[in-house]
Amino acid sequence: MQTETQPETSSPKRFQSPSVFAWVILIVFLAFFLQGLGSADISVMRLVKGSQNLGQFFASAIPPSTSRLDVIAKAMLETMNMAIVGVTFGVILSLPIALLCARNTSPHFLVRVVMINLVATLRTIPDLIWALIFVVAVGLGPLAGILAIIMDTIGFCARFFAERIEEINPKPGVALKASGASRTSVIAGAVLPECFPSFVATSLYSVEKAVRSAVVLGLVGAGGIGVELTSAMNLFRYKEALTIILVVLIVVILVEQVSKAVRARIM
Amino acid sequence: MDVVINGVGKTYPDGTEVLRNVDLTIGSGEGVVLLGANGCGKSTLLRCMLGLETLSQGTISLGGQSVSQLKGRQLRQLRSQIGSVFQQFNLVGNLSVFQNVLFGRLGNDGLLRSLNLTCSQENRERAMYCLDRVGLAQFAAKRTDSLSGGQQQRVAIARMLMQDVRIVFADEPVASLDPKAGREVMDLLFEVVHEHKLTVVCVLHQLELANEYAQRLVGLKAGRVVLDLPPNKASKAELAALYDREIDSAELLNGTEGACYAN
Repeated sequence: MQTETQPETSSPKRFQSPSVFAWVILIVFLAFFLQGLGSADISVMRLVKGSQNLGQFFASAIPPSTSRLDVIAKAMLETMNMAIVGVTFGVILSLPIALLCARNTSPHFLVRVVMINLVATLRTIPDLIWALIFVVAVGLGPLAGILAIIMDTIGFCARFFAERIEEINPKPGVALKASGASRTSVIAGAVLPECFPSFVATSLYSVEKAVRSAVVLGLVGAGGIGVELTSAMNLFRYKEALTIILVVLIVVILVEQVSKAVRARIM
Repeated sequence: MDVVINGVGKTYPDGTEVLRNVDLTIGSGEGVVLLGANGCGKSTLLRCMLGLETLSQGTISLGGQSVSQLKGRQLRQLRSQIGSVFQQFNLVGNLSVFQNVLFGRLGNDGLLRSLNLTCSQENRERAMYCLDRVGLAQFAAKRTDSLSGGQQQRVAIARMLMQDVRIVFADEPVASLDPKAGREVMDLLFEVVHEHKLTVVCVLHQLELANEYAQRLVGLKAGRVVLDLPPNKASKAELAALYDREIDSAELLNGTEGACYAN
């Protein structure tokens, strides 16, 4: 055994005071939190009243009414249509955009910067705002919803497609290039096949996302079951509203399960 | 196809000097094995010969065409006559073996005539012939990444056969294979090379394989050609200097089973 010698540097302190930067962040956060709590006007009275109202809503909504199930089913179908059509076009458009965004396939640095920022903008604007814009542009109905979903899908898919493309193993592509293949051939022959399973998984996830957002898009008049839900709520037809909510719940869960099963198979 | 490398230097943007004034002439149909320690510039030299790297100095010409002066279609046309075999096989793993062989036509025939779905019957038959030549016809429909390393390297050779090459660059073709599979791949590669009277430049780390298959050994050290001899003529001292280490005489014997690897 060696005799214990004390190292020259002493052990770190048990507690180290956070940096000034961390203090500033913490104080700003606390200020916003307390102000938010104050402005929401939270009181025990309101919470009790709120739960009573909620109870009343459910009491008058149960049992859900099936009288307009056919109309609701049709609206749900329209919602699904919007999601599927929107995602399909979104994914088709995402592919070339992703190739322009990815470091290893983009033809030029400037093209890449422009496309990355374009995609980031599409992603930053929420789907509901896209729907409001397109309702102004093309009028009420599913077309506005489809266009909103296309924008949302590009913002999501183009980014993840590009990230996947940047992760590819470059070697098979180099081999094709070394045998005289053109840029397009390398992309089609080596890059896309390797990314394909991931692209499918991302697209399926995007379908799930689009079904959920297509439900909400109807609230601003962009077609689908959301339109039915707002009118049912506004007219105090709570039994019908509950039916709609249950139908949405079942469909969203179904879509998620199917998509999950397919993704588990291909990945 | 002959190779003339004249005063080639390559310095990377970060200042690393990989090749310094390399002069090397390889005759048509000659079989050259490049030797040298890791990082001595062997792979960079091959990449320069393919026009995948720009040269800092000097010229490289293949069959009378200067690689560094060619661009676009002409460069691709030249590359389509060069077959490459890589250490990691570099096949597209999640496509079929058949499709990977068909990709040998990309340089000559373009994308549509190289895809299984759209290519000509002639190319399909030829791809099957090439696969049969490397003994893997029964694996045509399999996913490429389900094959063993030795089999994948044979698929890469089939892809090269599909390509109509005049010269072969092999970059450590057996470094990731076990000795038995490595020997099978070397035998197949050199059979193909001799059948078609191809020029071959092969980077190897196994001295006994080098002595057995090469017509000429070229040693690189720190980016310079320091050795240029017929096989079995290199002395232990010369090889030791190449790798900065002792060389065991067993490594130099032809056909030693369970060969020692230089790395």
